[in-house]
Amino acid sequence: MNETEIIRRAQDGDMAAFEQLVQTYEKRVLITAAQICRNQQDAEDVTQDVFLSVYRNIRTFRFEASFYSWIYRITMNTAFNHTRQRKYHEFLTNDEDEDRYIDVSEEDSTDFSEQTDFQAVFEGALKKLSEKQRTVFIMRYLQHLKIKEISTILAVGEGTVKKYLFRAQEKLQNQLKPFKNQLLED
Amino acid sequence: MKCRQCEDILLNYDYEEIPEKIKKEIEAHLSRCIRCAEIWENQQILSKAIKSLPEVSIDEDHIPTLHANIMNSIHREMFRESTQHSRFHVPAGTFRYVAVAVATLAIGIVLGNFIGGPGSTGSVDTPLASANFNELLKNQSLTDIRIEQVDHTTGELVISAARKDNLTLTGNISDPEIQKVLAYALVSDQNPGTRLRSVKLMEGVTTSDAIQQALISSVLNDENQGVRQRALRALAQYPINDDLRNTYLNVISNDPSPALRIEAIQILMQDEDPGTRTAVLNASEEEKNETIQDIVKRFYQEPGQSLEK
Repeated sequence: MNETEIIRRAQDGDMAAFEQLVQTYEKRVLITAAQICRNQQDAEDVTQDVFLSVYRNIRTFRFEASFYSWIYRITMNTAFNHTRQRKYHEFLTNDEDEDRYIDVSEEDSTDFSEQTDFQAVFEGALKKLSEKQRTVFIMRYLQHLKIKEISTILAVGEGTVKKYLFRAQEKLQNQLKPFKNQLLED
Repeated sequence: MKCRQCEDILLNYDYEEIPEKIKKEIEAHLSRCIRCAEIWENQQILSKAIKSLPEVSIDEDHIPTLHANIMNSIHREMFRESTQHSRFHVPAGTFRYVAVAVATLAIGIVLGNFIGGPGSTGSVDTPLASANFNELLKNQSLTDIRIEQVDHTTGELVISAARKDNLTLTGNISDPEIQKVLAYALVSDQNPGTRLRSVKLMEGVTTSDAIQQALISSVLNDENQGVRQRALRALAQYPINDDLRNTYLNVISNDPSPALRIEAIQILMQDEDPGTRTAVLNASEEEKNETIQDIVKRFYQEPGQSLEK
């Protein structure tokens, strides 16, 4: 049975077919979610929510894009919602260590030295991107997708993807300026 | 090579992926184009920065448990759907009239009234203020309910709906009959936008039993998370009683959304009933979400600590 047939059966309420789809895609969804959430527990919660959403909406899938693109888009949206909620609850519970992410712009850049945690700066800078910029940046550089693939998955033009990518790069570069020489030398 | 081609290649490929022949062309272009050279340098910086990030690895041993959790949540959803359909969903086709009768009966129970009497096909487009909601239904269901206009200052509103004929109602949110229409819309209308608007209007009403019952039904049954969440917040305005406590506990143990589970826990934190602490701990016994586990632990297992530091 090919995938189209399996999807059609799942659309008709065949749970065995739906479970087959879960089996095919759960690992890929988990990895994608982990790249955004940066930890396994959150990624597992997201994966669970993704498949619940797939179950609720599978009848609306019209075979206009690949099934993976469709699931991928749901995964990105769910993962970002999850990180948004997490941020809100961290705020509520004061769990976030505010010193963890260092804002370069608020520091005297001349003071930057080896002891500054570069990874923390970079992760902090990534978190400061707008959601759209972060999405395309992650898709392009962490998930190694091509501009065309990103454009198909997000259902926006290639020009728009490039625009977000350029803006993301611009912002990140500003934050990474103090490390420029160090990075180019390595 | 033109700037645009160069830019496209640099944006689309990691440098190692670029074929040697094209690499040479790019290098030649970069040696004479400052703008592209700058883009290239920036790309290199970012590429090195990205490589410095710790690799996100997943523990594949967790996948079978994850799979079981996914399938469990889907079976729970199927159960929720089946109970919701038998009460409120009106399918098209042969079973429509049976379903309408079931739905109408259910709504009648929700509103604390049985709807009866022979059907009338007359049009109603005048103020509802003094009309009777049961008269309005006359053994029919209202569909496609829309909240057309709201004056938030005075509470005046206009609602349209389809019966066998078209219907327009005008009235005030303080009118119990209008409240019943909104309650009906919340538990029975297929359009989540209408259900959400109904909930929003209900937020200021804390004295109506019809609305309270409709909100409970929505929190437990609505398929749309946004509607459930808003209904939960509206419900939080009512003083906690046994019905509400059970509703919140039900959310904590069954709602698929962690955000709703957290809100339900936060509502119950205000409850001074001595049994609540144990009930919340029991309801969240199978909780997998770490944030929620932590909230429950901090508030209930280590009494004396509040979320708000």
